[in-house]
Amino acid sequence: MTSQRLLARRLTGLVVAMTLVAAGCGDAESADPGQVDTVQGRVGYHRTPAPQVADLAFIDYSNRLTGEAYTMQADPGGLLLVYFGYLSCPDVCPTTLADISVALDAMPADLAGKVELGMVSVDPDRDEGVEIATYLDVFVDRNHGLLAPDEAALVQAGERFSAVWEIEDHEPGESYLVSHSAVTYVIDDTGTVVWELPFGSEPESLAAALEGVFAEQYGSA
Amino acid sequence: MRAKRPTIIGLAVAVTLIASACSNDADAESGSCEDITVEEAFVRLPPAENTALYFEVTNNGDSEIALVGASTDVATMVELHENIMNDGVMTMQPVAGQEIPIAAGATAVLEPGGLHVMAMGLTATLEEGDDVTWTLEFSNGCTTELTAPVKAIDS
Repeated sequence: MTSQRLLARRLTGLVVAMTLVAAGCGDAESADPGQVDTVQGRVGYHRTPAPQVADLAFIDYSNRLTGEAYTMQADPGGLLLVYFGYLSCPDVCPTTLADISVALDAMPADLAGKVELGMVSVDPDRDEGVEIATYLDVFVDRNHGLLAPDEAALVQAGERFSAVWEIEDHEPGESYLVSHSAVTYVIDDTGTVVWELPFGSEPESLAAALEGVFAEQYGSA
Repeated sequence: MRAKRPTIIGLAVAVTLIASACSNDADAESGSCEDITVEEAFVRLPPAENTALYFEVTNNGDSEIALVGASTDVATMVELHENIMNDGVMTMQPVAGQEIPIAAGATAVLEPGGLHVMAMGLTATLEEGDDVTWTLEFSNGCTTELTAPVKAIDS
């Protein structure tokens, strides 16, 4: 953080617009996103090479206990939606997850029932794993409240997904915000990120995109 | 929620506007809030220490007015915020100048994923159905109170 930015903050008394800083503070450095392709009429995009994420280390707290090692891949024939967010996120995270919830309600029940939702906290200093899982219950029944086992694992995950975030400067004990990628990653049963959904997509568009991904990956629609 | 909004309109929760804070104010610079109506206000149930207030504010007057601030007793910091997308990264940031202009006859919509009043550092535990009192401040100097219910987080 430069002194110029600190000065700007003091001058304005406002939270300074956050820019991406590629080092320090637990920030993940964005990897080369590779080639990005779209499909006509479908919201979102696909990366080539598609990120493989099943080997990343996460702890899943959906058991409401001490957590257990989690392999990031969908059940056979299913899709796993993964979002990098944080519990103190007042607007963007719940808006995105609520849109997903509405989208699943709009999908054929047999497909919607094969969709799981995971959220990885990018704010592990404040977020308890069990609280993340409880939070997700509001949106999708089949969910995974995820923490990386340590900071290095979280940074590695961010790089793999090309997800970035920045924790706002703050004094100990002070409230703060986190800027973060607002992308929902769609992962298949091999642990491949097969599609990515941007923030702000209408639930109807999300539902159509997920149905398209189901058809593409598993030949069902 | 975009998808739910049309159905919610019919169920709009009454918002109490108390304009007396303006008319009773002896300050010569304080204008009147009588041309301002606030509807559809709600607070999203906070899972942690921050939350957001949403509403639609209409300027029924003949000249532009701006929403310039908000406050509540239940948060240590309140700001007018918007979301800015940069290279796929969503950053919430204060609205430039802390001013949301509302043209004569226009309505400013503060809604999930867009403009909102951000409340950081909540000092009270909010539960669904609670009413939260806020004070909105406008560029003509008037202030108005509104009471917004806490709604489910997937609202």
